[in-house]
Amino acid sequence: MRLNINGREIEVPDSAGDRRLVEFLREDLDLTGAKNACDIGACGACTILIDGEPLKICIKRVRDVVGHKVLTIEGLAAPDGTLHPLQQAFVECGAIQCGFCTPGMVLTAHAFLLKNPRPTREQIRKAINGNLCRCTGYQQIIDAIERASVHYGKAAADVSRRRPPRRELAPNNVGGYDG
Amino acid sequence: LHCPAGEVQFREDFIFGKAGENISFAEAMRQMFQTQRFPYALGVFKAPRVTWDEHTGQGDAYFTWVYGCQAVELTVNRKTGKVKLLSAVAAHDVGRAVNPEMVRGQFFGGVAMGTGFALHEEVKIKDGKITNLNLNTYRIPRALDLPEMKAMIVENPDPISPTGAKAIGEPSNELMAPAIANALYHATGQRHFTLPMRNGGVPEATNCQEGCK
Repeated sequence: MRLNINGREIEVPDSAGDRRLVEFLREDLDLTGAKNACDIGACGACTILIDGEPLKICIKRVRDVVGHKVLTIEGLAAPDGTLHPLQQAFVECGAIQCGFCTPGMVLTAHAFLLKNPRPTREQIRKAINGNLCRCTGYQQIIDAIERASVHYGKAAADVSRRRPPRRELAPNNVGGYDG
Repeated sequence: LHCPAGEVQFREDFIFGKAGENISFAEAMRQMFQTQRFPYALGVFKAPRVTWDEHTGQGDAYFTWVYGCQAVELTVNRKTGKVKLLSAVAAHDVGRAVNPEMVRGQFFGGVAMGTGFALHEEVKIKDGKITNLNLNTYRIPRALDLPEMKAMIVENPDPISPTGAKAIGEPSNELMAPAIANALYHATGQRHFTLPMRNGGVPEATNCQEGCK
């Protein structure tokens, strides 16, 4: 089985196919951005992008994403560590407190802004309604998404095509996989 | 800066030596990072004595006091009792706002959590066991449940506090349920005495006995 994660093809043994995707990403690939919180697809902390669509992966298996493009939060920043404009906006607006919802929130917002680069605040609220946040009251998250939206539209095509960094996968933990 | 540590002064994001030479705080942090030195300082603050008589409920219980005000605007659905918040304003005396953006975050977070407390969140217990164990049944506010919020920081540095800061977080949370309850009373004439106030303003039997207020 081959997976395409953050632009890299990796080989995984067939036996991993039944593993839960969020566990596999976190424990085997060390991509700990996706969080496992409610375990039943209610909170959105585990959200990653599958072919540009946000998906709650705590209720998905590894085999569900074979043949799809997977983007985790680790693949959003530039290879040199420069933050994506959306991530930068989150920092500037104080949209992060404990940070547990942030990876899922950023990816949900990223997918939303790619589709709708000039949203109203009400549309942003609707878009992130599936992601729970206990700290921020969403206000500054919405501010951040609104602020970052100027970077989308025309520029968005380049962002989604950008090749994510190689260092995102920890080779020692991928073991015998052709990573 | 070629002078003893005691003579260094911090002013307006710059660090000054004795003879007036200076570097910016950002530059100092960069140099410390490069030489792998950790910027730290150790200090001790002892809170002033407070007196509190548990028996009489009298005394000077706290050494500082916070003042705040929150207001909400809402609509109640006549049939279903569903409450929709339209806007919320929070104004608090926070002492000194050390990091204003984070202070605002505390305002909004408190308002959001207080909204959940007032309208949705309830730990249901059956036969001694909690029945709503996950986020699908224990309902915390989602983005659409919350209104646009406004935060007003009132700075009034506290002379007793080491940084002048008082507290925010708890106050913004606590004021929300009363604000919503008062708004519901104004809208429907119905007083609520238990939380969460799920049935908004639609007439329902209140459990309040005579003399309860």
